[in-house]
Amino acid sequence: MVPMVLFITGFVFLLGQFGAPDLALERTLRLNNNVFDPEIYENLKINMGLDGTPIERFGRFVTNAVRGDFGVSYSLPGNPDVGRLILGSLPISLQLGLAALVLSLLVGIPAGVLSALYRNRPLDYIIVTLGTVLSSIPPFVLAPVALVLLVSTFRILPSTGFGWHGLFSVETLLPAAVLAAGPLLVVLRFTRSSVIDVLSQDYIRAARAKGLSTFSLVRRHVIRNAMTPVLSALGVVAGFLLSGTIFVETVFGIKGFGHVTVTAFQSGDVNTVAAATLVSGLIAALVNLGTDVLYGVLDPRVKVNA
Amino acid sequence: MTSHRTGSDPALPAAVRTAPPRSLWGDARRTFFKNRMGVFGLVIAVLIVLIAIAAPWIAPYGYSEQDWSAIRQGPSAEHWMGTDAVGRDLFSRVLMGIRTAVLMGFVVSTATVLIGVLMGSLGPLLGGRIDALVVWIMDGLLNFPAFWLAAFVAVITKPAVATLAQPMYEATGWAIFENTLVFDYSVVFLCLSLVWWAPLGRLVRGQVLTLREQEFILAQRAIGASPWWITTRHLAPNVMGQVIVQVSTGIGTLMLAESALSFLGIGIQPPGASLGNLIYTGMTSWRAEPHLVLMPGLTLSVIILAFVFIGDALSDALNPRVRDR
Amino acid sequence: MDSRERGGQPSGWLIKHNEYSVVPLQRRTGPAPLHAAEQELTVASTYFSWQQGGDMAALDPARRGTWSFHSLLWAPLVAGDTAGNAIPEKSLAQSWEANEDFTRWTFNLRPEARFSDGSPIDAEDVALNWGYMAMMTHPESFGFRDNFGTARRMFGDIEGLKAFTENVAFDPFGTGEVGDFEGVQVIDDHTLTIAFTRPAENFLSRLTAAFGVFKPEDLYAARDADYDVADFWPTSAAASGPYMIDEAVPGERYSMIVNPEYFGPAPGLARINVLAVSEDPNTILTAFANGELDMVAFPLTEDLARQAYGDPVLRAAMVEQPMWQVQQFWITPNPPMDDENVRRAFSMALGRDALVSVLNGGSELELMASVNMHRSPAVPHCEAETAAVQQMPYDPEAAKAELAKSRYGDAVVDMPINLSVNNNAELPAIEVYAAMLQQNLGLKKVSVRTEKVEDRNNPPFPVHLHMNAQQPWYADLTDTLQNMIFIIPDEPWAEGMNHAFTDVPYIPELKPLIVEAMNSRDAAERCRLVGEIGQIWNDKVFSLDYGVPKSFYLISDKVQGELAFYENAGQGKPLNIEEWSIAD
Repeated sequence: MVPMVLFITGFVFLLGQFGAPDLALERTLRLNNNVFDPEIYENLKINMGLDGTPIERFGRFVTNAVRGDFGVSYSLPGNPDVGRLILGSLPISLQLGLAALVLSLLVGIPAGVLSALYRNRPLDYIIVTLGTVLSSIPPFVLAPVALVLLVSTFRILPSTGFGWHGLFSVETLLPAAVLAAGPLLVVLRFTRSSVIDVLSQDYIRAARAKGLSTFSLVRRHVIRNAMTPVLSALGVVAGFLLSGTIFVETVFGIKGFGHVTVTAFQSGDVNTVAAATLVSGLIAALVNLGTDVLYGVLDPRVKVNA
Repeated sequence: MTSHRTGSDPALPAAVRTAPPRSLWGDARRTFFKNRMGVFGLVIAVLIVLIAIAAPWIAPYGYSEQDWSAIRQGPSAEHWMGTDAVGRDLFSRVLMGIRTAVLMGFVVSTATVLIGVLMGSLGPLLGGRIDALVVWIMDGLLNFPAFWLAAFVAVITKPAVATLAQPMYEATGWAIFENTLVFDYSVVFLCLSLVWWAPLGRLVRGQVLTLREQEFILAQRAIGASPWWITTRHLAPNVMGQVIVQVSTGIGTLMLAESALSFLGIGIQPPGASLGNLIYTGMTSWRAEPHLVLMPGLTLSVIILAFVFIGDALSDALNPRVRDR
Repeated sequence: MDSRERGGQPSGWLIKHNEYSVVPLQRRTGPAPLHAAEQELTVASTYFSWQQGGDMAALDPARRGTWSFHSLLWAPLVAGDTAGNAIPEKSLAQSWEANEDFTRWTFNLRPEARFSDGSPIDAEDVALNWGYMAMMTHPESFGFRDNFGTARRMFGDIEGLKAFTENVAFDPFGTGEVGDFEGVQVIDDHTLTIAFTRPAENFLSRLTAAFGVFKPEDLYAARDADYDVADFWPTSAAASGPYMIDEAVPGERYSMIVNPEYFGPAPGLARINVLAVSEDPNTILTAFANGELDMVAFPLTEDLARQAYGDPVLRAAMVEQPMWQVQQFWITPNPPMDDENVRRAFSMALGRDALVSVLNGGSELELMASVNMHRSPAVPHCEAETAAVQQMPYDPEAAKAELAKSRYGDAVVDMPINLSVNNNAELPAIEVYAAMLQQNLGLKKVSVRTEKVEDRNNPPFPVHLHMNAQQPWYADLTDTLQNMIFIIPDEPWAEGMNHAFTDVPYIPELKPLIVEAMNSRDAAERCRLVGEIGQIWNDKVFSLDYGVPKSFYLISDKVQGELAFYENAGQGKPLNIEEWSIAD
């Protein structure tokens, strides 16, 4: 799994070598007051790892990446080390993602249960439609709309332009909510169909026949049994969250992993972009693996094919 | 060469006659049209496609027509969605943006279907090493968040595409290679197709694998039916159901992805009109002129919503195993 | 008027460095200020911008002195205002003098000066600081910690500097050893001399702009700790100035509180919080309107100013500042722009007044103005000569005629013309140009892109006009010319350094004129040449003249005192922020 993630990243990186601007040339001119000096140029090329054929550079990229060396960012002042840059920004994004995940579960699961209980009745339609509408609005539209309404017009929340205040601060609420909008629908739907499945099982009918109220029924039997399939949704959710952080962090000024990536995308910073994509692939792969394992643990009937 | 009498043949005695055969498609159609959301979505989608086709004729102003006396105005009678920083009518631009979205959505969808179906069936059919390679590639692609990978490909290949254009122009003399718009479209098309086929490929592969082993296929082989017959008459219809569902929801996601790329500044740039880049340019002043972001944003949301509804309804209609509704 | 006045008296006159002048903006007096301990100012500044101070890396004392908050942390050897006066009570040196020919300056330090941790500031510390400055002249330090040759420009004539950088490897946490560096000699604990390779009459003015004293041990500690070279070292350095760092979150915010050990006058504000803000300026405006910020420490772009003006709360806090920023274009030598007639046609096809009114966006603020020759009012040279330069008139008919006269003739109409800008905020301007070109010249294939063109020698698509170029120098010759020919001779650029801006590829006849202007010692002659060069430039290149005549800061009306800024663009810190106070 890891090798293929690495290979794909490397392959795209290779594609890019065929038309990339000559960074070494640009730097030579900058250093030398716009006069080209072949010696400086050659030295810089070696320093920046830009010598050799594209295939050689690809090979170097892969071997370095395995060791954790992603090179240096040539677009940012000070040329910081890419590995450190990304590693430093990950904790914030992970926390934001966690907050969003919790929010989407807190809202999505009860909504899904309700929806399933009142299947095909107005409440069901309302919930599902609302969820669909909310997740169809792109995060980069939802964010400014939310900002304008909640922060500017109604002043319910403090403005959020100033970075990260910690997982449990009020300023995290809005970005986490915007980020949670996408996964919300997924959680909602998976819960709903899984609860519907469970509700039609015999043991549920038996419990109802015994006179158990709906509420206790849900609490004791439904939730536990319905949750396992929801786990499999986590992989999809992780994908949403990863892509979503790109937009949410940009709009809310949170200097996390998504923000670093966007800056790199916009300035064409190949090293950072490649490393960021690689890391995102690894995270997603890890989450998938994790849910597979969890699934196997929670439901012994399922055989895990690792 | 037996004559093929269906159960509803009027020549049969009434007691034996059965109801007309309900094909999968007929059934699906009926179920689909019972779903109000789906119908609603379909209506909107059809409307959107019509608008996309008719855009140049229904737009009240040219999409790049600047009126310097009407800068940054809010929605009004003359300009239904207001004007932007150089006095262009936003409504006309949104119409062109819809055009781009529909174009990209359908073209890329077609490409993903072609690639996905090809790769998905290639594996199981050819087996062995090729299968392993295909699986390896698909799994690899699926591990990445799709949008992220697409953005990566876009950023990396953009300079390559642009650099390629110059020698292409010199070699062929075709004016199309001088057009910066063409680069943008090509890059977006390339990156989205290369990445988005993977889920479809996996779906197709799974279907092909399952179906291959099923009894009725084995039975067909036993009676000597050709692989082609099996594929077109039996495999394909069953697979296509799933594919259609996947594609219809996928169109919405593709349009979103294209806008997202433009929003980040790595997709379609002006003069190309894209809802994403309208939002992108509007973001510099969302506080003072929210209509510049809201109008394209809401339009985009409505389009995506329509396709999601269609996808849901199709999923219900074509997938008899799902028990709800 | 010659830019140089001879001074040379100890603790007295400085040489006027005409690049800057101070403009008082407002004097606000109000009700009694808050209790001293409650005087807290919250400032928004930007991240990753070398001009503004939000990023902690901007605290590096090798950064150009007054342009960031680090001048609050590190006291200068000699403090000065740019009217040309020394401020003895804020200077680490209590007296200074130069020898007869200005090749050696001696500084006597205050014996009682201390760092914020109580340790004394002595001459050896200052000498090691100079070693650090020398390291910043190392060729490999270019762009590092946003050093773009500042140190080389300012201090390149110190004896032994060049040899030092040629003989040592670049060490971002290095200062060399005292004695490595013969230009700077420690005489005793409180006396220091600096020797120059040539007479340095204007040394003091350079010094006040760019040198603050830090504790070398803090720098060395960073080398051992796990600092990335892009971080500021360390987040809790000992300060020598009126403030010291209280808390810091790199990349996000830092706070400064009063330094009790400061030798100078006590500052007014008890605490200054600096926040690195979201890159979405609308969020900044929202935060300001919500009262979460007291000041926005960077000038609002025209677009933002216009938006702020429309909001009554923000309008009250807008403080106008004269500024000069010209929208520069890089005209590439790509066909058809290499033809003089084509360039003239393009110039004449642009209606500057229409452009300016579009850019002002119907606002009452005069955010953009049409100008003649690009000349910063802060650089008071050759006013008569530059005012006399005639710009190309707006004349579409004549433009079409020019186009026909070019060697491309009618074919230009079908050639693709690609205009580009760096970011979205600049897009409206270039879209208006594109429309005018199409309308007035009948060009059929004008396209506009937002694209960060990093390598302007090899843009990804053939660019014809790119806006807001910083390099190459000849993007707009006239603006840089003013500064170059008057300031560069005063500054110790490395010998033999090739001044690439003298080469304007499509007008070779300008080079001898530029070189002559730079070498002339006669001010009147230089001005005459500037006028001549300017006229040739306007006639033969692309004459598009508009600029930003004023900019706005956002300062909450609770802030009292004399608000004063440098007149040049983009200053990160007002001159006397420590003297402000906050009213209720």
